[in-house]
Amino acid sequence: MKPIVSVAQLKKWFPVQKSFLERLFAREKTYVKAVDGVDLVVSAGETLALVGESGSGKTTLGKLILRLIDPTSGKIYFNGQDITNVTGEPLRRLRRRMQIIYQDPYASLNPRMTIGGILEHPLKIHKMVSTKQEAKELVLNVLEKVGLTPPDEFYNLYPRNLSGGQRQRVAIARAIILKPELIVADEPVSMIDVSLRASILNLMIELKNELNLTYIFITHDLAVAKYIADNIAVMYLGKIVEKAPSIELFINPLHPYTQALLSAIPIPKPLHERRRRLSISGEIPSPINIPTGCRFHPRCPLSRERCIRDEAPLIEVCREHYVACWVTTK
Amino acid sequence: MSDILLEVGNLKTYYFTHGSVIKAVDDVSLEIYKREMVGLVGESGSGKSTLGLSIIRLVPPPGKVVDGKIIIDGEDLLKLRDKELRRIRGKKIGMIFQDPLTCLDPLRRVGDQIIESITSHIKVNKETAREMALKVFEKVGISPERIDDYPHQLSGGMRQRAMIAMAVVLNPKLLIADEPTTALDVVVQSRIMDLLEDLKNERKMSILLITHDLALVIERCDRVAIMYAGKVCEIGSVKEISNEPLHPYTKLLIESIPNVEKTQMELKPIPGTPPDMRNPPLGCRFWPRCPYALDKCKSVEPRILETDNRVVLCHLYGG
Amino acid sequence: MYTFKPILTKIIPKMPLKTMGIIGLIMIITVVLMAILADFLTPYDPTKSVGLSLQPPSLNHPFGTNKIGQDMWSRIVYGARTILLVVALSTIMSIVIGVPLGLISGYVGGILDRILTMIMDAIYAFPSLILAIAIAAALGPGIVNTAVSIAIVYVPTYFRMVRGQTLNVKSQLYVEAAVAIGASPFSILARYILPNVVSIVVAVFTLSVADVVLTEAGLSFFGLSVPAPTPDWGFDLRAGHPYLVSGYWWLVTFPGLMIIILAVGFTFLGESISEYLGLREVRA
Repeated sequence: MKPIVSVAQLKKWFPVQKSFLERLFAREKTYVKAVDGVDLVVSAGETLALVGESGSGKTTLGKLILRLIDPTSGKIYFNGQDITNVTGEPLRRLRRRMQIIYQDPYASLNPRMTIGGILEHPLKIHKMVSTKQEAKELVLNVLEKVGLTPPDEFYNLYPRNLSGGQRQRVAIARAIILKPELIVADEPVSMIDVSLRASILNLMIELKNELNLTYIFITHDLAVAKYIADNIAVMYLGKIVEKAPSIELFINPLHPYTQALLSAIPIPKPLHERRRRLSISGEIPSPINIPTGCRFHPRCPLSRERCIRDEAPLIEVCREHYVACWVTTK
Repeated sequence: MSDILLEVGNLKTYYFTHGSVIKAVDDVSLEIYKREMVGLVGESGSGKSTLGLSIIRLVPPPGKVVDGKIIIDGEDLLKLRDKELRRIRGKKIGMIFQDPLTCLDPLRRVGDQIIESITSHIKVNKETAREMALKVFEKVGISPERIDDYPHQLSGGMRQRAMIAMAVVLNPKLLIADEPTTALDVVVQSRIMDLLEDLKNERKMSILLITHDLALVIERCDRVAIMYAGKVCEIGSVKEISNEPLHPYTKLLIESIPNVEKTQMELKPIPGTPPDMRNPPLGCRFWPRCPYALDKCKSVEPRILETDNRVVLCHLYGG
Repeated sequence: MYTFKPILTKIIPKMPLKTMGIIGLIMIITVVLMAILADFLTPYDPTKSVGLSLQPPSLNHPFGTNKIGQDMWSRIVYGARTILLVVALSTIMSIVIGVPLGLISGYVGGILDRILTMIMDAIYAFPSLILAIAIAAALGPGIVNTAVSIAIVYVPTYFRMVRGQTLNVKSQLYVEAAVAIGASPFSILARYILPNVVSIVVAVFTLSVADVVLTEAGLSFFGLSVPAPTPDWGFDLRAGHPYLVSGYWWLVTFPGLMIIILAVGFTFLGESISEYLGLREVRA
């Protein structure tokens, strides 16, 4: 399968804001190492879930791929083209082919524009229509596609007139109206009511098939990841620690962090009736002070001496299943 | 000898906005027993958070408790004045929220905040208060040297623990936890829930866990109350509810819990959307989404049915 | 003016804001109507001597006459035009300069922002009347010149508020979303940032226009506004001042009263509007 996105040794380090005095006395700069060396290939037409807790770097990685943030080092390729340093007009034109859906449906729509205006704006920017009539038709069309019917009613409303679920559908509409190739969805259903999530997820699946999209789906909810993704990449403290097809990941998780994540998912059976969970100790360290060697070692029940010294590389253990762990890849 | 710790009777809390009245909690009755964890489950607009805030009397304007009673230890909280309520908050009832920064002042050290909370309720000197703070920090799993840190220096999970520490330091009998783990990943969530269970057992504390995550409640709680559009639809033990849900909404909620243990996982949505609380449907508020709706449901409000600690609000059961 | 203050502060806290706003609006409209209908409200030319000097209010001259024999009522009524013109002109200038600069400075940031902010802070640090006097003295008299002096004094106020709001809006998610769809910076400023900044411009306007009125009055008091014989309340206030001891009260009272009415009117309206817009902390 043709790769649509590939990143190599991608890093994003944010300098830590320091007070004047701190800067005077500091011996070296400190950084929040949000993404700290990621290699990833996403194939055209796949849905890849980026899973991890807050602080894992998954959102930063998603935004780096879309060039909404500038990388500190490493490379980003889109359809074979090196987009690591592209800026200005070429970058704006590139945006037509890669879009984003944000987590917060209340904050991602301009409160002063009508739904029609919000959806027409991308068309105007990329000169995809020549008349107002054409633009309106395309907008009504896409509103229908995302289930906001009757579309003419929604066309004239403002975001504040819509519910959270409806706003998120508008956000989806905005992402697809340019017929992009890639969509990065950043926790698109975590702020939506549980009973409504399935319909939004099902909509996204439908659209993917209809429009031949590739999704990078960022989430901390493993159940959602399992439902929607072909492949899942688990991130911890800025690196990918395991990547496998969804079903495989759930049946055979290899990395201790993945195992802990899976066993912690609440299952609707009273706890004492279930088997004991694999629990991990401690708290996730700050991305400013990343542990030496394997960054998971301070909390890992399997950690050995090698783990404290050296960082384990991500290697393919069996078909399409990658793990970064000294112990489980013996 | 009553095992009841808190009794909420026919509580009504409304929000008075220009033009409309939102009946966020509309005639809710609920009992919480000693040493139990009760899950209060609902989606947005259900009123679950408002119910929690009503109990601790922190409903923000334009909201107001308009009717009902909230009785703890023989006192009706709705009849107390501000001064007496301040005594109760922290000492008898504690509350934690989804965002620790709603309780933790980012500009002050966490230790100082806990100490202040202690000294404003009981007459002890600063040293004693500091010792108490250190002890409770240890109990919640924060290493004692962090006591002089500022909130931003702690990780998300630790801030949550600091908030829990502040809420339980004076040994309240009831802890109201409003979505305490929603923003955290499952591993941290699991450990925070372990902590809460621990505190419940050790300190003989009851916990009202407000959340949208029914799976979490079934996993951890003793009893569960399901709310929809300002009303309680069903109350029962976790075992009863998960094996034999009565109310259609409960049934649909349980069915919508994704089962990660199945290879081919399905997600079953509940059709329709939660109602606009300014204009809820007439009759039973759930009828537009209910697969079993009768004609009666569209115009007549069901009455509460109580048997053996099971409560259900539905015409299907003769309500 | 100073005898009125204690009464005002006793009334104001008790007054609901909506009433305050309406009262303010009435006061302003009265003055505006005076200015518009000046020709119909008086038969006299305010710049000419039309009566005996220093006559107290009478049927012919409801506000009396001044030393030169000009009818005070006419001078008040035509004076409304002067002050309103200057206030309007200077406000428009302040907005036209301050708002775009604030937008660009806030959005682009960097060195441009730092330099502009430094300049604006420097201007802002001067007490408004003193700075206005200095500039007006340098520019000379005339309606436009006066408007310019006052405009310069208030540009930093608009600049700071707009810049602050721009920084605020810039960090909103929907602005990043606009970047994500490929919008150009100009498009983002115009369609995303500006509409969300307008309300603060309105707030700044309503709260500072009273100040502008007083500054104009102050300038004309010092004779730095419009040249005589153009009718001007501040000028008349100054001109009539020496006669107060001799008992010619009408020369000072009416201009003074009008200035208060206009300033207080704008203040009432401003407080009421900014409360309505929910901007309690905006202080120019």
